[in-house]
Amino acid sequence: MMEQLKRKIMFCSILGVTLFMFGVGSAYAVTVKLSGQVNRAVMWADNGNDSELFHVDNDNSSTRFRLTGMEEFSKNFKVGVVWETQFESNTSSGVDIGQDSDGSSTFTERKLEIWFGTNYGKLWIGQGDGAANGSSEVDLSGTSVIMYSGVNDTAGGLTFRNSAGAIGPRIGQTRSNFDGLSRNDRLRYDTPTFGGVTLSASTTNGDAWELAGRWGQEFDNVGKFSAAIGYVDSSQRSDPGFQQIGASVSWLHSSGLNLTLAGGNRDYDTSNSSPGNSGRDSTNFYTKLGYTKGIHAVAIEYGQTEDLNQEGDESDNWGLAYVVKPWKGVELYSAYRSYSLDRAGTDYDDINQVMVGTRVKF
Amino acid sequence: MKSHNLNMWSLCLLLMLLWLLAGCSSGKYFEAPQSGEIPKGPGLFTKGDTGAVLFDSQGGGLINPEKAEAPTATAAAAVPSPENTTQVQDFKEFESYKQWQEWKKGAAGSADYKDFQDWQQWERYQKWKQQQ
Repeated sequence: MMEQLKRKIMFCSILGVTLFMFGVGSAYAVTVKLSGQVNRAVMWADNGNDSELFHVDNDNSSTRFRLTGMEEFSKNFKVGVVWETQFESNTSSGVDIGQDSDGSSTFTERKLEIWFGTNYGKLWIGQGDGAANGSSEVDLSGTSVIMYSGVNDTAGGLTFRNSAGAIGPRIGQTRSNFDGLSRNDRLRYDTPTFGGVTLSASTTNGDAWELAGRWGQEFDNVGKFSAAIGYVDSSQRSDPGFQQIGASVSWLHSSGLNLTLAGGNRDYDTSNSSPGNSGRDSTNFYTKLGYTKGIHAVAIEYGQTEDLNQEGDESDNWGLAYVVKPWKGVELYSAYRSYSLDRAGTDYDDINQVMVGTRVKF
Repeated sequence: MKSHNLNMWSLCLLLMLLWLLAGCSSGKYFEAPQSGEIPKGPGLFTKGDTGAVLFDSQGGGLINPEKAEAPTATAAAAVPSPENTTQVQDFKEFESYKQWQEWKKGAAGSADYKDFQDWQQWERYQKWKQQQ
């Protein structure tokens, strides 16, 4: 049945592109734009045994540049390209206590894609967001540059230690917000937005596919609401394969008070060749309460992932953050976060982290 | 595999239901920012919402977005204005000459052409009269 569905998606996509071509006229508006950002921070972390000060690129929203181009063939038919690459020196998701160098510099792809936009929706081909990417990360708090449900972006490389200094798992091995398959080489279709809702589907290598729905609306005196839900089938793409569902909702009241909730579940297949996570059922929960007024935004968070690295694991964190936007394109931020891992038979020390930094968009 | 298919169809059904319900709501569409992406709005060096414009076919090809969005003081000074009388006169004269060249191509030797020459002579007389 899955094969039939995939074939239907492929057939509809090819048919759609062919029909687009018949409607193509000569271009009457072409635009090419360059944008990007630099996001650097100073980070201090303490694992209970030792502490370290790092100079990092904030992987919550990495340093990058983006080239976009769009050609408008008619009011109802547009074609665009996106070329976005990131260049991080010493990414915040990779550092660990004991590192005494600048770490590595990585020049990596983010988006290399072409899109076709019509009244009947948008078709994407190339490297870019899978349909479900971002479905667990809806956040209207204004603090996501330093604090959101993807905690691994700023702490994934830090290692838990017990009181004797023995090495445990990294935070990144024990936490996940189950947010789709991130960016991948895919074919994606988005429906037109109806009542604030957009539905998306994508298929990628390894016969994996994603489905998602997004909703965003603003109501007088109540504020802004945004929500998303995404489903992933990655049975063939990874070993062990998994099915995953992730969702998030965020509400920004007109007073500035805001609340964000996110959750997800990953159901691993049974695998004899790779017993690591075989048959495990992992869950995640995340909540954030915040307040924003003018150029200022503050928030507190709590998150927990269960049974990801080992059955019975409870890996959680809490934190608080402050972000200010004093000038156009400039954000200054600071955050404190505390991580703990509760594992049967082992007593790991908490990891504490402070980050101060700035993101400048150009 | 059957349970996974069931999950997928349940999700599809749920999404369709949400879509229909949302269609009945009275709110305004709102596109939420995506965590981790470059934020919307002007950048440190750019005024546009999505970066610096490198090329715009409607703006005459390769353009400087700063100049395209708001004329600078130098550019404003270059535009003919009542305060800048010499430039206004030059501009009008050039326009008149261009008009005459165009008209002359198709009307040389005609009665209209003679009439036009008379009008130009009258214009020159008016200018001379103002200078006296």
